[in-house]
Amino acid sequence: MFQKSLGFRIFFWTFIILIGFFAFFPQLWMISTSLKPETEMYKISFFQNFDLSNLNRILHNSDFLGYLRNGMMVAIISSLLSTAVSAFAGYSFSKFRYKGRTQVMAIILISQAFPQGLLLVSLYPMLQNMGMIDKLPSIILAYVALTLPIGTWTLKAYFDQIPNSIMEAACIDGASDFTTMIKIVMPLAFPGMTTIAIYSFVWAWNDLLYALTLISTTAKRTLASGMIFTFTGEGGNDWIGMMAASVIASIPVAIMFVFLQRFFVAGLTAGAVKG
Amino acid sequence: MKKSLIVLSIIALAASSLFASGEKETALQEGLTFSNWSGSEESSKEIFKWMIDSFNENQPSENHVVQINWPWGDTESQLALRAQGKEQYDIAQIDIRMLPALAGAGVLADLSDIFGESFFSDNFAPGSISVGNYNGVQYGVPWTVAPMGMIVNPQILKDSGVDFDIVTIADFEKAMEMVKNNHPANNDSDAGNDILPFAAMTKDGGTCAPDFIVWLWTFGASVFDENGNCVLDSDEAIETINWFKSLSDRGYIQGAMGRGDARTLYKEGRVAFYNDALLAKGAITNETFGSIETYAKPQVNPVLNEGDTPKASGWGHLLVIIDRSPKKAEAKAFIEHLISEDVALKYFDEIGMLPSKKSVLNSNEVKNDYWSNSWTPILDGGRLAETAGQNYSAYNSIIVENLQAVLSGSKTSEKAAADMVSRIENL
Amino acid sequence: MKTISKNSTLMAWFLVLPALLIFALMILYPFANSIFTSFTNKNLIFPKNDFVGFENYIKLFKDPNTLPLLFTTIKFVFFSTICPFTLGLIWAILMNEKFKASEFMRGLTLVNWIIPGIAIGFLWNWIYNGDYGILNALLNKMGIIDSNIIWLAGKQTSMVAVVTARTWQMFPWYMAFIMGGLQGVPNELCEASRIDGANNIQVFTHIIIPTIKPVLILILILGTISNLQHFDLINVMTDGGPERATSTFAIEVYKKAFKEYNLGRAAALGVIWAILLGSFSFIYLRNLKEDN
Repeated sequence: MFQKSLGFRIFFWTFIILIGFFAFFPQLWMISTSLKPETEMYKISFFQNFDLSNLNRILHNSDFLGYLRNGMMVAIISSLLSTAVSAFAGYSFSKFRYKGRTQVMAIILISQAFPQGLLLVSLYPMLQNMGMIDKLPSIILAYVALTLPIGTWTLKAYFDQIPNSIMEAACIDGASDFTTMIKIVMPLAFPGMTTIAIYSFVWAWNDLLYALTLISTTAKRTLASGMIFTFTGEGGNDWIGMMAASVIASIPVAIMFVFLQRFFVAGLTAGAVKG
Repeated sequence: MKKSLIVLSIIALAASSLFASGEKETALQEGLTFSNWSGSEESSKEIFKWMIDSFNENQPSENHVVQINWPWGDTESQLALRAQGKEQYDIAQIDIRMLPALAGAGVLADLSDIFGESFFSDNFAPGSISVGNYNGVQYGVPWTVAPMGMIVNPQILKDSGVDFDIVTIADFEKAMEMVKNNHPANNDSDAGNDILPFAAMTKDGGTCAPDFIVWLWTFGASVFDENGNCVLDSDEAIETINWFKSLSDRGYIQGAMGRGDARTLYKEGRVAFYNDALLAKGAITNETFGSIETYAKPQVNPVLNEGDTPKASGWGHLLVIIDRSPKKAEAKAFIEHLISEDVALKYFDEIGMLPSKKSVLNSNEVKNDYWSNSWTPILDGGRLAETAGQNYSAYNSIIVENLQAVLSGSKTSEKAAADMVSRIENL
Repeated sequence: MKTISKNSTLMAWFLVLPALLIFALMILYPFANSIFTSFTNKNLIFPKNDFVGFENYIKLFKDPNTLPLLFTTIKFVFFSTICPFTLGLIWAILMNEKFKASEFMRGLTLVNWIIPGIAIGFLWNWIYNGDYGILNALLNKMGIIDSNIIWLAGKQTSMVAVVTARTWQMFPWYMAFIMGGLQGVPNELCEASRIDGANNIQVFTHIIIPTIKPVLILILILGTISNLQHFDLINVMTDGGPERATSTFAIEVYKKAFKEYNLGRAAALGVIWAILLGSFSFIYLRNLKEDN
């Protein structure tokens, strides 16, 4: 795409170094800190005295592993549910015309404007009355709800790009509405759905506020609130532990990403360009 | 067909998992629910588990204690939220600063009915009893009560040539000056090992305001007068603000200093003075420096004029019973278990939390411990921060923001004081 | 368009039902409830709940901190969107050159996005720390400064710290989207214009940018909305301070509701914010090309 002119080369190498440093140095710092013996914690040194005890400590902390497990489970379920619900709704907005459609779309979009922390305040007593406090389904539901606006709108945009001719052809071949949707259109929008799945996953994975407020039993905690607990406290903060835990927590998701990123980027290619 | 089956089965799986995870939780509704933060913090996790297990051993299963945990910073709001709902809730660990708000919210039970009047006066010192009391009603059983003190690094003082006791503000300022100017680490070319004379709290309302209120008291000022009017614009208050600003101008204190930052720096041997509670021992212990007496000595705050009583911020943990709990008798048994001699001494052994019962405080184990000995003589000297109550967070924010404005030069002390008063009155 | 048969409309509503139900329960109801709450003095922990009319709104308008709140939010949102966007754009261009390590570097960059937000907050707090932070150590070594800068204590510098952390967290996301867009640029177009004598910059401005413009607009809008809601990093790093220099709407609403327990005031602030943002979204809706 770009000619390898001198100007471009200078541009390339300058920014590879600058941005690369910005992106990767803190990662390196994090890893290096998690491998440090405690006495060296605040010294500016890198990989001098290897001390695996921090990582060991975290790996043997059954509570923390529980947080990882819960976080992973909640994130995957939220992601799947959110994608499915958004896909259905997006499909409905895109391929059908009916009264009330634009109003519903508008309301869902504008709902992103409202402070999510404030929603929580009204949600809490409502969930309390339903007996849903301290139950994981409540935060899964919350995550689906919070990623719904972006999900429906993005997937609607993807579905918009799939020409109606494909659907008409399927109809002529005798397929029902439902079959057309599941078998023909959705596979075409699969990259877009992957994008939303990943987006919802990261949302649920990273969330702190809702997880902290709605879940209070250690056994059910997810990652972010679990980390606040384990590594910050009245008596002091455990920096090394937190860095070690972050490294460990990031590994499974990082591996997932390195594999899935092809889909992720491909998904963003197809369709998004035509907007 | 296959793809639709896959999609549908995923959705079904997800839906059923929602219900599945719902089932396991009904068991939690029995027994006694004990909320706390220490039970999930690394340093105290084990001892809390032991304290609860040792109680449950002797109880029928319907009276077993089960913990729920929230971070310390969220305890006040989470406790109130839960107490207003319907789930099982019986006992809670709270910070003494949370008592006024929670008592005012009406979620705590009156303990004199449950424990009897004489229980308190028999077992605890007056200072400990009073922090559990609000508007004349006893809501809290003291679990560990000790004022916050000034932690001093004797080694740093020695290396700076300070050879006098820190009794008055004048001593304090002189010592800080000597640390700043004379300590070898401050005179070399490496900025990375500089020693901060006083790690005063300047970052967030929850730490800065209560600490600053102690200085107000030291200078003879206060936040409110007897009638509840805000008197932060009194001459003494402005004098305190000016004094604090002068510390910053002379480089004795720093901005953006939180308690965690101060402890970290102290542990690295880069702070001469800072305020903290006794539970900081774990956070500031640094084996490479040798035994703790050499680098950490708790003492009282300096006073304005010789002969004044040193002022201190009250600190501590209380045990409370939730008013709507149907198991108050069992809750009482659990609390008595926690403050009993065996349990309290083990708690003390493990993480240094001072017992609260007079009899246990007098035991040899406590008396022979260097760290505790520094606190036991001043146990009753703490006074609850004036801002505690319903508007705790709002008041603290107003104070810290204006203090930061003075330190950064955006406002004069007089303007800041006037603003504090007007914002507090208009809340 | 399948609009004719009754079955189809039924199907359409059936498809949208799960989203609507969840939405109504988890968002619409709390939102309506909050509007109602904004006219009361409801408190999180005290049993107060009286109707007070517009008092919350009046107090907010009289409060000297409300207007700066708007500016601070705009400042944070603007920089937290532009910076990662720019970095993401440049990085996407670089990664798109498909050299040997590019796919690996791409994946590694995405890791920033999935590290738990609180860890990122603490990490950058540590980097920016005045006394033992590595930034000061580096600047010291390079001779740029000779005494430590207390980054988190200054009004401007604390905003820099927070924006840096947010940029570090989010630029991989922008990179991914832009890369997707770049890969969709038809190579023939570029080659054709090169034959006509265009240089790199001309290709960039006349072909690439116009082609990927929809993506750019999409992510700028998504990024803006996400930054408007953003809470975690600021809460961990500065908690809105010093002197409210990093206090955005999201932080302020959280504090008023969960720390000061003033639900009525928090709700009023939320409603004001929703009106402001709603207008913004409305404009976006208008600009969207829709066939109706």
